[in-house]
Amino acid sequence: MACTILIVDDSATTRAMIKRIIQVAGIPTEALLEAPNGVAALQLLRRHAVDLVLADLHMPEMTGVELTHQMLADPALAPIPIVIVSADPNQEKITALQQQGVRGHLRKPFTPEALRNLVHDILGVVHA
Amino acid sequence: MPDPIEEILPDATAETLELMAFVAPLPLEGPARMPKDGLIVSLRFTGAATGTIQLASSAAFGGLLADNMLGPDDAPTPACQRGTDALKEALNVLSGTLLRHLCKDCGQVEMSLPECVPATPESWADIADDESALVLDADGFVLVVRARYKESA
Amino acid sequence: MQITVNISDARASANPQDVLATYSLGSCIGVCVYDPVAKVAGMLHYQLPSAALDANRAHENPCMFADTGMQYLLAQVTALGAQTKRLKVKIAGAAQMLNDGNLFNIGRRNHTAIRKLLWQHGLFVEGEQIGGTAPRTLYQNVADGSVLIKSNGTTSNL
Repeated sequence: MACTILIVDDSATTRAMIKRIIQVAGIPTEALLEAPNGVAALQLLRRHAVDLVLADLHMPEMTGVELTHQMLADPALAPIPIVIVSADPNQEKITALQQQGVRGHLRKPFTPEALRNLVHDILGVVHA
Repeated sequence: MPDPIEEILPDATAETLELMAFVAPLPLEGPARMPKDGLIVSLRFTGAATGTIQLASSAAFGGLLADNMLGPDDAPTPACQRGTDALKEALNVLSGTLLRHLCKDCGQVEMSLPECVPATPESWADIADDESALVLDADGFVLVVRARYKESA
Repeated sequence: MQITVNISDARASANPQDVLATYSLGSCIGVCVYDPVAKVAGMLHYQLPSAALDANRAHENPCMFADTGMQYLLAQVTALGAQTKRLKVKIAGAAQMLNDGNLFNIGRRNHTAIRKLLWQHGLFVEGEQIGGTAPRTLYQNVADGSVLIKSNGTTSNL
């Protein structure tokens, strides 16, 4: 079933690479949305039915931590799986987010395969 | 006693470039001359340790990073913006990797967002002539990386 | 029948009775590609990351280098009916050999080179066994694309 994935990262290059990985992997998508920070991400989340959020942590205006907290506090957004894709070195921070409800974590730098496999797992796509 | 940065910086840099952008760096032979499109990217960190991590390179190298990450050029943004963005992201990722190893026993550190400015001869020399800096040939482009840190009291 | 892929060589087969094999993978990399629909297999054993290092040598033997070698391999398998976008890829090698123990060793550069090429072709690495210090032998069954590695007296599936 085609899904909508939201990619939240202040790096346009990283957003584009993640998009390409998802496209090359043949993951069926209705839309691949992008946002450069948490504020823009929330605006998109209120207008679109999103099936998965891939979010960086270090971003201007609203960090990935704040975005996560706002999503988890909103009954309409809390069910959407969130995967953190970040270079943040603090494992305690990541662990705390996972305990609060974040579904997965992928540390940068990541291989295309690692991102593909994680998206497959979250969306329940069987690996070919 | 060896400086932990000197031990970890080369591996962290190589890991970042190889995994993120498929670039296999080598030690630079000869002087690290400032390119015409030289850029300095800087990031600060605070917390259990404080310091700065910088890289000095070129917009053209940033463009190579972006091209490698994306494959065929289909992005609408101008090439120079892609290059700057890719360099900032490279520093972000390198810093995370470096700090994860450097600070694994010392507690939380917070990284700032990377900032990129055009290099001047003075700012380039400040980094490139620093004996502690890592000076590399990254697929034919000069790349200098310098990290300064101290553990907070 | 076993088809031996020599150093700086590439072979392909669509015969389900065949096994492709390459030996002495030290800092070199063995690349196995398989189209599960056309049931075509190919294997490349290359030594160096880029033909730019020696254009004359690359002209004489493209399979010595990752870039020209992959071009050659893909041409071989597509000639037998494989489609690039369907290929499953597995790689092995890039060991750190004696006298090349530094961070910038050739095995590591070979690994980066093939990953870059595969990404440019829109291909994922489905399995890899990389690094270490021991040489490897690689076998690929054309019947089903399965890959076996022998190294240091042990055998494992990739």
